Amino acid sequence: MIQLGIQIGHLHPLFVHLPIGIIMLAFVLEVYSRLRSKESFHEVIEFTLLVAGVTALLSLGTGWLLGEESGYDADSLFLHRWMAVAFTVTAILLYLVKRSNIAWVRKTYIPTFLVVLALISLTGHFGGNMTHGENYLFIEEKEELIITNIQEAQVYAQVIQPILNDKCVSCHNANKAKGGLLMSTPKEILKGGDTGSLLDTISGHEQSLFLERVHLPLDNDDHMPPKGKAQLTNNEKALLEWWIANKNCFECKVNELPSEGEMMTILTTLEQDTSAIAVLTKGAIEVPQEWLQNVRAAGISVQTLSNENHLLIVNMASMNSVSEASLEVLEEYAANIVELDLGFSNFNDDLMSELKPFKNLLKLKLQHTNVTDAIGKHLGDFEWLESLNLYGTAVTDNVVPALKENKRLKNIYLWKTDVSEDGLAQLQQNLPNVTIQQIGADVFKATVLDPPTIISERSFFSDSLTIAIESLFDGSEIYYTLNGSEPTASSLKYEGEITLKTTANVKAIAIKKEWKPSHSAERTFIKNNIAYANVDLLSVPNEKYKGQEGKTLMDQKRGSINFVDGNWLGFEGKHLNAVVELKEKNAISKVSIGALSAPASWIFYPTSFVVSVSNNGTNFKEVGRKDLGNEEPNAEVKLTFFDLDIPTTDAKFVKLSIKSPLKNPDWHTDPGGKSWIFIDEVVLN
Amino acid sequence: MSEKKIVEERSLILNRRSFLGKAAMGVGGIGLASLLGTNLFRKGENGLYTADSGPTGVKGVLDSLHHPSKIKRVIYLFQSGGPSQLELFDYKPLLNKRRGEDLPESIRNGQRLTGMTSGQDRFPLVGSNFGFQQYGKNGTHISDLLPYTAKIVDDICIVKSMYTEAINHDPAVTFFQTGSQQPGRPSIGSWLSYGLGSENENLPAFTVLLSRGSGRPNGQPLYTRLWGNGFLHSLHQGVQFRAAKDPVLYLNDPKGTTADVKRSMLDKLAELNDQHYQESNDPEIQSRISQYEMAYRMQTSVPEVMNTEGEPDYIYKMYGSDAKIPGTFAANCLLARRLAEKDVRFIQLYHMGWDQHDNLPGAIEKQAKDVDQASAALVADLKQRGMLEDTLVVWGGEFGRTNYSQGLLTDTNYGRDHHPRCFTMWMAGGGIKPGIVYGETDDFGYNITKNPVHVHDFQATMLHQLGIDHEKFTYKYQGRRFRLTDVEGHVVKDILS
Repeated sequence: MIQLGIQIGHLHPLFVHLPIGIIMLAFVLEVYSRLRSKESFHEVIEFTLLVAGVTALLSLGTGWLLGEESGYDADSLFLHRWMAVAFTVTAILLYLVKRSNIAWVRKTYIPTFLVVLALISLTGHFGGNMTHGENYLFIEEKEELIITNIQEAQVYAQVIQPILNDKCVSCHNANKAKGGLLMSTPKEILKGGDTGSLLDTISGHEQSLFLERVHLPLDNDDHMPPKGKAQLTNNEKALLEWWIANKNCFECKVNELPSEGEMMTILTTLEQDTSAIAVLTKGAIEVPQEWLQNVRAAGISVQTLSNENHLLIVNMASMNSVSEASLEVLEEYAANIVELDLGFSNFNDDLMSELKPFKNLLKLKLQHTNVTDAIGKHLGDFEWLESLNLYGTAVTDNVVPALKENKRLKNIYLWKTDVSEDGLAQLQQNLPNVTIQQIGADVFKATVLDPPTIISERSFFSDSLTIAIESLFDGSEIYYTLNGSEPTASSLKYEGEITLKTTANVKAIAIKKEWKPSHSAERTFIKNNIAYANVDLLSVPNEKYKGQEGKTLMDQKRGSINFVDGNWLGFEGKHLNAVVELKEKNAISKVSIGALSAPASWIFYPTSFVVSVSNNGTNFKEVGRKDLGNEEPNAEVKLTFFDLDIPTTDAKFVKLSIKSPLKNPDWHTDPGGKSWIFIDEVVLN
Repeated sequence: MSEKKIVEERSLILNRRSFLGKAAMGVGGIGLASLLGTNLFRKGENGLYTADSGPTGVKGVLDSLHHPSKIKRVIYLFQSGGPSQLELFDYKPLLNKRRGEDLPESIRNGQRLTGMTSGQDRFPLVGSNFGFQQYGKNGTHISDLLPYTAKIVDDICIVKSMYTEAINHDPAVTFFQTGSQQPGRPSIGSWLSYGLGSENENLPAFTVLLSRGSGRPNGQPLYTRLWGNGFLHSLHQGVQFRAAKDPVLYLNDPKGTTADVKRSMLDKLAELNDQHYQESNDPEIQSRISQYEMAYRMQTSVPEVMNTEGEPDYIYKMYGSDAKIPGTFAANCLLARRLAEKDVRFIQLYHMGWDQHDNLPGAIEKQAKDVDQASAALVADLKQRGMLEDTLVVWGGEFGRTNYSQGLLTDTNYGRDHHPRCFTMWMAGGGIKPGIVYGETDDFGYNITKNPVHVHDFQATMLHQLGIDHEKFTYKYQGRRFRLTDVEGHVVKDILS
């Protein structure tokens, strides 16, 4: 029965606002009808007052039932309840007065109305206090609990209670103790509520009642805070758990409880931000848009830190017109400027005194300006300075003592200045927290010089060929060999163009002081004075790599490692047979073939080749063969010439039979797949 | 064609949005604007300040930042093809111990495979052929392939727990650059150009430099849409600087044109365009005028920035001697620093050739040599110039590589397929904790076990460092508000200092 009563009582919030509004409406109508002498309003007002009386009764009834529910402060409830009774009675009385025809009764109408209004205001106020808390209407200026050092903070008083105050106390306070629970003091929290102890782990459950309620699904009726009220954040839940898990200590400091990893991260977020930028942000005044536009019109880039942050970043880098006047443009809001970039500008010692108003600078960039040690006496003006860039300026060790007062300095840039190693050491000693941002001299000491380039448009010649060798690096020396041996600093020194008269395998290195010598560059130049009439391909190359067909092999153009360059003939899964026809009969003693290997692209060197000669083009006689073997496992892209010396023979036709491995070797990623051979040149001597 | 017909045609060309915008503001709006002496169209469509771009650069659509920024610019050293984390950063001795054994199904756990290994009947585990040593204050493991990166380990933040949703190159690179696997969205640099504008009116806010790796010289091409502007205005697309006589295509004057002639031609053209604008109010015309002007200014600014002759010898000693050879990664790193000095907002490098499906040991050795010294030198060089404080350097590819061999596993040779579930990137500079390793993978190097970082998380973090809230930075197109991070992404607060 009581349960049903409370159920009906829950309708109280629904009805409670009706009499308030309707009484107000009646009053407004009353005033209006009197001002405008609208006699016809009389009945309307009378009816309105009747409705007000009925709804007042409904509110009173439901409210009475709701008041039976536990959790409300007895004193507040008493006041609200009896004030409501008084209001309801007077409201009904007012209706009766309005209806009355008796003259003296009618005279009490206005005073009664005023009493009703007073009563409804008070009743409403007391009711509101019970629902929303006493401080709801007049928010008291809360004393902010500022945590400057989280390690020293009181866990309960400074971390936990503020969360409870924020999210729990509005329903669990002396006025409105829902569930018989109060949560404003340690004593109250320890006492618990009607359901039992708050913090002790309930027998048979994993956690305390407190955490259980907090972790229930939002839709569960017992979930706390109830659905619709401000919920605990994940961080707040984690803090509560952490506190309860550590024996819900009321007197501990944070550093007395274990707090590692993520917990520490969460705790740190509670710490008041005492960083320079936070302090300066707080003190910064707003900068008018017009001023910003004026600065920009003067050719100076200026930006606020963000939408809500009035501090400024000014960029005057590379300007060659920095002057007293241009700095004066900035003076009015100089205290807002936290970053000033004057790098690579015409800024100098004389202008340094103009920076005095820029007292809140965190970052000052003066790299590659004409400043000297003379700026030292002004550096003390910038008490907040965290980063100072003097790289590429003429400052010396004398600037070091001047920096002593910049205690907040974190980064300093002195690369390419005249500050000595001793000066840097002194600076580090004066300001142990500063990082001197410089790269160790030995980090990049082992850099290898780039190989030189062997320059010639041609790789083949019939008589002689002039080649050049160049290095990209001025001041480097080039040494070379012509016989394929590895050059050293005692090899031939390159002094100018070289003229080759015979086939040569040129290798060259570059050497420079303070660098590691380069790897060698290599190029082969082949002398070839036998003229070809035609090359007849007996095997058809792959459609994609057919170059100029037979001509490809006699065009005296080397292919590159980029095998789609058109200078290669490619054969997939087959051998290459070709006949070279010479312009006239010649003595042959050496045959060379140019080949490519790129196992990653299924391309391998030939396994062997056979040379036959003929004078009529039909009857060939074998004069030599060379076995090249199979390739060892590798993935290099490379090209070379394979030479075969044969007994000197006169011939008009030379037939070549170049054997492909046909299939990828076992060590390949696709063993047994069709392999390729690529040939670019056949050279006879 | 009669004049009337021309006018009719032209009115059809007027795009729908600017037409509706104009109709909404109406003649009254324009009248009001001139009455008040202000320019209501100050911020043109697409965030192009046309009338307003003054001597201090071109303003972006964001009037001010969402929160104070830590960085002013980004240099993104994109390692295209998917560098193997197992050979470079993620030290997994277990893979060497169990070399040749099959990848347990409990580890693979249904991961989809590419068409390149889905047909394999075995997935033999393979560890790195290269050793790892510990470096820096925290004893971070770095491969012997990266001796120079090892030297700057205390300046970089290594994220071992990156993961992506894509498994093939095109969607994966597109995902990283635009936040969507499907093409058509603006890339990061375009978003930044749109939002933040340019600090330097003489250079584009978004520049792109390409280099080919020696690990796989003919592998994986790239496509210009990766630095495309998507639905943003074309002014925001990345401008590619090539290693050639004309670093930027179509920038130079035709033969026989003098500077004077060019100037007067542009002036006349601007006059005509302006007349057209007065009639049609089409914002495209205004941006066309500003693009002509930008190109004109770039005729001097680009050769200036590309000419590295004045760089002293010790700089080449830092970046490596191949920095002298245009088009190499090292040369591009040096250019990146020069562009950063000129306040270019987003400098995107791509180094191709990391797609080592087979012959990985040989290929990655050369590939790592391409990038190791120059990447480290860039960080070091920025640091000693004081620029690392406000520059973010990012190093990483589009995905990682599998812990099992693609193709035949021999004593000296193996390959690795694409692996999206975990890979490694590093970041250095502005506001990123230096010298830390973030995230962990399991002993098989296959799954993330701690602190996963999604591609969108990475993008959100990058924007955060630039002072942009990735959830607020949107562009409305075809009825939907688009973000770089789509509908996901969390700032990785743990790696921020």
